[in-house]
Amino acid sequence: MSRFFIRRVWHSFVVLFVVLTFVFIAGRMIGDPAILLLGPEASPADILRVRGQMGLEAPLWDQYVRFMMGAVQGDFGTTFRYGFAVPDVATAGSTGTPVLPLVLERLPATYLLAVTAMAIAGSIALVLGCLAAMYPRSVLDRAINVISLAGVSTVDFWLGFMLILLFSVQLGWFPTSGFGGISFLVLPAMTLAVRPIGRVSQLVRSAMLDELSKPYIDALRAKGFPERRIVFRHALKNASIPVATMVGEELLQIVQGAIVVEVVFAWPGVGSLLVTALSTRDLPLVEATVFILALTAITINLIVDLVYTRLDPRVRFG
Amino acid sequence: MTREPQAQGEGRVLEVADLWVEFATPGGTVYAVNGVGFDLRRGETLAILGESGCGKSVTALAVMGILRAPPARFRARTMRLGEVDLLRASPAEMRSIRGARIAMIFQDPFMSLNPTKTVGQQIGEVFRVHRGVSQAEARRLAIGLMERVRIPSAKRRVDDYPHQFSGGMSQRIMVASAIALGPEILLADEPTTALDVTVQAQIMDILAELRRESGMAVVLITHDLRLAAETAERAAVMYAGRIVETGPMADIYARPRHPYTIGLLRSLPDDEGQRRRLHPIAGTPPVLSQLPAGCAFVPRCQWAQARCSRELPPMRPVAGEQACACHFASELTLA
Repeated sequence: MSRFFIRRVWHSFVVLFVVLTFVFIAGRMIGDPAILLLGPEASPADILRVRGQMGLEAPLWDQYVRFMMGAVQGDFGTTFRYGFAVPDVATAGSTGTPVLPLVLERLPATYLLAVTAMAIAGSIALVLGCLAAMYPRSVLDRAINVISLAGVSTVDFWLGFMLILLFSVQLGWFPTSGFGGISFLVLPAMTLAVRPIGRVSQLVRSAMLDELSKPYIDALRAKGFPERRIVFRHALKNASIPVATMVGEELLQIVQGAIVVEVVFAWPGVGSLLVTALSTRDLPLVEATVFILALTAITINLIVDLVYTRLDPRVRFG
Repeated sequence: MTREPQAQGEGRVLEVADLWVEFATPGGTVYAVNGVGFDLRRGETLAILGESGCGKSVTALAVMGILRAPPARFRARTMRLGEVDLLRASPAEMRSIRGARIAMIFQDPFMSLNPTKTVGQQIGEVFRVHRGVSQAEARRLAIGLMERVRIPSAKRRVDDYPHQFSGGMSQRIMVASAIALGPEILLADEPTTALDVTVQAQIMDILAELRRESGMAVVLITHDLRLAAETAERAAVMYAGRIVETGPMADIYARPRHPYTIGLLRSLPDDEGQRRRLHPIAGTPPVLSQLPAGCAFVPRCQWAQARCSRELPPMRPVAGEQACACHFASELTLA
């Protein structure tokens, strides 16, 4: 493992620390968690008691230290009301289900959705981008340009509803929503794949055109190599360096997009959990979800950096 | 100066006649090469001389069959490599010839290497594609070639990447991959222009040595008259996409006939290193999308007459093997 990578891991820890601090501050800024929990009609005495139970009477720095210590150990507290029909004033804040396992339980479904969407988007974008670059300014190139522009301009939750209307309601090919076999995965993954198809195919095209215009391509042609070899083994490999960065960014966008799309398709992932947590004002659950999403983002960035060093020797030795 | 038999095909490895190349650009058609022809004899070095944009590199790319079309269009009356008619060869035949029988090296060695593959892979790939050898065998052959172009500790450096090499070393790697299959012809397009003078001499030495060992013919494309004079047996001077003077290098250097060649020679600093005022050629080369009807050198020529702008001077023999495309070639002297 290179020094470069060790440095990046260290950076990631710093980022995670900053994110946790923001989560803490935001959590104290959205209002009194005790009022959020008990509702606006609660009596001042009840509020005071619950604040005490939640440790909110302690000085802010003390709360911060405890929050950070808990976060490091994976303890974000217990859920306010998730799984309970009525909040129980007596036990709220002291007992109940720990939030982190709740989030982790939902994580595989979100990852499955995001990775499937990215795999679909990546492979389609690669083919479209390469074709466009191999025949620049052709009819094919223009058609691909229109497709990718339509892709980047799409609003995903709207597209989700349209896909449900067409493929589930009208044609009956796929289930409208829920979680199960591959058939449940198709529509939400397609919904999330459309925008990255547009963005990544445009980048693949321009990166490929850039590579193919470089002098080393002439040198390879002068060696009598087949065009296929030049395009795929040389140009595409080098064009994939900028593309890798964007795929990382797009994967993050997909995870973000999943928050809404999971609700549209009733997909039991972290996204729909976060929306539920927000609408029920379940602060610990929101904190844990944001933490896990931040951790996901950091991990994706690390993986992109790792892929980078594999693709570009100049980074590896830099 | 070796005199080879002049019979058709005898001793000639490359024949080009009446080559035209034009580029379709948004600003109009650019006439880059206009009826260029030359022969290359076995084992000789032919210098193609001229300033940037005169069509020398385009000529080389056309011979290799690797002009980017579009925007390029080209036609020629003759283009033969030995017994092979390059104008009729299929794309697959051309691929089997390129890199194997006729190879090329480029001006900027660093930009001519793929930055993400090791130099060993890039040299070895020639054997993998043309000879279908194994990866291990290709690597072994690559090391041998790197030693042949005198890259120090080749065994250790074979797995390094281009950015770990200097410009001179990169050009050696380009040379190594070009000579890998023992080509009859090497097209060297400004092979030393991007390099320091000392490194330049090393590369030219390596090329000279390879020529001696293998009998490979070299087309040296350069703007450097002195480099050409040191290396080449024959020369063709190009201006605005046409050959304006051709003949034995020594004769041209001693007594240039075309006003452009005369200007090139006068713009050189003194051989003995004495300080004197240099004489650059006044003016700029013509725009290749708007070539004049007559001689393209007229606006820069101190001897130009009215006739020169009307009539394109044909190539005519002047003395011995020397030929020149100037109406007044026999009257001019190097002032």
